[in-house]
Amino acid sequence: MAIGRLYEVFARSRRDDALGHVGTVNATSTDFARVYARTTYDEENWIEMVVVERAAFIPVIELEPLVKPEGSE
Amino acid sequence: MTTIANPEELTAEASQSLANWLMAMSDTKHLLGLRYAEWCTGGPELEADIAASAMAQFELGHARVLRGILGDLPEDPRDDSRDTDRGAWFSIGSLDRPFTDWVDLVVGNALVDTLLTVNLRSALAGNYRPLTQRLRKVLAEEKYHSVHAGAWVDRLASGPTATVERLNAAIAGVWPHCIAWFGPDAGNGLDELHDAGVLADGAAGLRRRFIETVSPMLEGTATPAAGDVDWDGWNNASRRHGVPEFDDVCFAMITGANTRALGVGT
Repeated sequence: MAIGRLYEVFARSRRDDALGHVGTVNATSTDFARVYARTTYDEENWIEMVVVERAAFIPVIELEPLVKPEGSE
Repeated sequence: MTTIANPEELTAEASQSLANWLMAMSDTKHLLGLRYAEWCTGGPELEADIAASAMAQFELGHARVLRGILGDLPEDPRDDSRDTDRGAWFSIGSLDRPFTDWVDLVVGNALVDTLLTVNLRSALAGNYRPLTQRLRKVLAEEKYHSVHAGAWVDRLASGPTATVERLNAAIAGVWPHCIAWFGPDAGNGLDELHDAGVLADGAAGLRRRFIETVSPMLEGTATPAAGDVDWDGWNNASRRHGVPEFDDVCFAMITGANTRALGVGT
């Protein structure tokens, strides 16, 4: 079972690129998230990499659940 | 500060001290890489395994960079005796044996890795161009090792009592090796490099920087005082007491003995 919280990892390898989503890490703190993102997603010479905790995302269009919870319309 | 562009510009004494320092640094990085690698599938979570394997790769890469610089010195002390004589290896004593658990890895990361980084920072601020040209990237990679160490020490130090006690015991075991590494007040091999301008700090300054760097990282642990060192038997070339006590498997691994029969090694 995954320990900690889910962090989304974004990176870019060129200045004129936009930050792109490269993956996720599970981590118990932002420091762990930084290290784990850096060591897990090192396949390119990134010039910028950031992590964002999934819980910090602000929904704009919310994902509909695949199965509606029992009792809901 | 006058830049030293190549080994011929060093005095013989400075060149010998630099060769010894590069051996001690690169052998310690080699062993640290091996010890990290031994735990790259044994961490508490998959991300930790990946971090351990990445750190292992970086340490081995850094050892290779330093050995490249060592190879340009006429005083390069490496010869065939390293294949059979453990005494020809200059790695820090705390890495003679494998890490017994994840706590050992974290403490090796926090103390030994930081000791090496403090030295490399001092060399980057020094005047020996073959080093200063190469160390910026090495130190950028080390930044994440330091964050890793701090995060893990913090996590273990806030764990159950038995974990905190194990952490404190591991620190107490490695600490004396690190303090001794910097050597006595005289004849330590580092002051000579400081006098030549290769290192920005002498032995006392490096030891102070090491303690200042690890202290915030070790907050919440029972970090030992600097402590007195018995210098009897300490060697200013290998920067340690005694001869490495690698087991046969480790020694065969680091010397390439297991693969030499293939006829493709060096």
